[in-house]
Amino acid sequence: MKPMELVLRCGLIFGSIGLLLFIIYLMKKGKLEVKYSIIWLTFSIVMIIFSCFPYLVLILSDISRVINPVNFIFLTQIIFILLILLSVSAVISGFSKKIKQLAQANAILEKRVRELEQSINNK
Amino acid sequence: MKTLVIIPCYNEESSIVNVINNLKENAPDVDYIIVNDCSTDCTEKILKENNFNYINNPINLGIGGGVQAGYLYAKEFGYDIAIQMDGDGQHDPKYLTKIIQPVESNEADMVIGSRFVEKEGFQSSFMRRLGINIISFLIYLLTGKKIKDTTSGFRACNRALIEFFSKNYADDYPEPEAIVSCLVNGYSVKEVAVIMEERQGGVSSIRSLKSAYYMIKVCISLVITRISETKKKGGK
Repeated sequence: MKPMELVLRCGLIFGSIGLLLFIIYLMKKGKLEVKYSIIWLTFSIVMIIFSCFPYLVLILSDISRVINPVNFIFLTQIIFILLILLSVSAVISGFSKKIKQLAQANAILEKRVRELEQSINNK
Repeated sequence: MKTLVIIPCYNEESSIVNVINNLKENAPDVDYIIVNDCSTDCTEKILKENNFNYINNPINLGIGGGVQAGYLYAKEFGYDIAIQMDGDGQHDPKYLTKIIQPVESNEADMVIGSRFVEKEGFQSSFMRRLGINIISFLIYLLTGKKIKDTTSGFRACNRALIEFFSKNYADDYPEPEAIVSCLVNGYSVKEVAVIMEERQGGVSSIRSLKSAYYMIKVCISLVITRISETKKKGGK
């Protein structure tokens, strides 16, 4: 087992803390809703833990038979990215349903307004 | 009984006038609503000039979303029976009474006008029939019910189904999915023989390049509909 390179470790620490701060900044500005931020927060916190305690990564990669510890970090990141992508698809599906319902309600309203206008004009 | 004919319509400027006049002639006592699904041609102008009864979708929702808007309209204005009929002249209003009758007499919750029961009139191309048969077989596997014309958009349903469809209706290629979701939710489906024409204008929602996507999408959604509704039932 190779210990993680110092440079890689520093990079990971700064990167993951930077990510966490950026997520918090977006939430503060109201650009990221809490319910969509949970998975991102988990992701950045896991990455901070991994980079601060590399020994944990060594143990985990040993248990899961991953030869190079850094690959274990990549694996974790890929899993998170897949989860986030899937949740984005789910969120989009929810939106498209809502948009559809809005459009249908709007279509029926438009007809009512159109007929109302006609009946007023005809008076 | 208050009856509404829902006519989904997308770029049907060449046929819609004929379809409506034909409908008014053959079935003067039923109401109709045209759902203009954000057509890009002069359909809306024609609808306005002829003073037809229509609603305009502000965005293109696809055939499913369009028909569902019609069901919502039927629900809001208290109709007892809703009939779907295409705006391209494939479906002959002569058969309206034939497909309404079993719904009126409570024989079935949904009635499908089928071109394959008596195999008369326009029978579609070989590849289309193959696709329809595959879907038909899949529906038989999933629900145990034999429906021959699974993609027919000529169908009538009662008040309970109007309310059901106004809440649950697939977006694109909804016809086979609606059958399965009816059957697994305990509604009965019946087929009656009708004769269909070849379309007078417009293009089918199922085009050659999209047919593979169509089959995959329909098969997946049929299976998903089957398993999700059973769960719902078990949870009640």
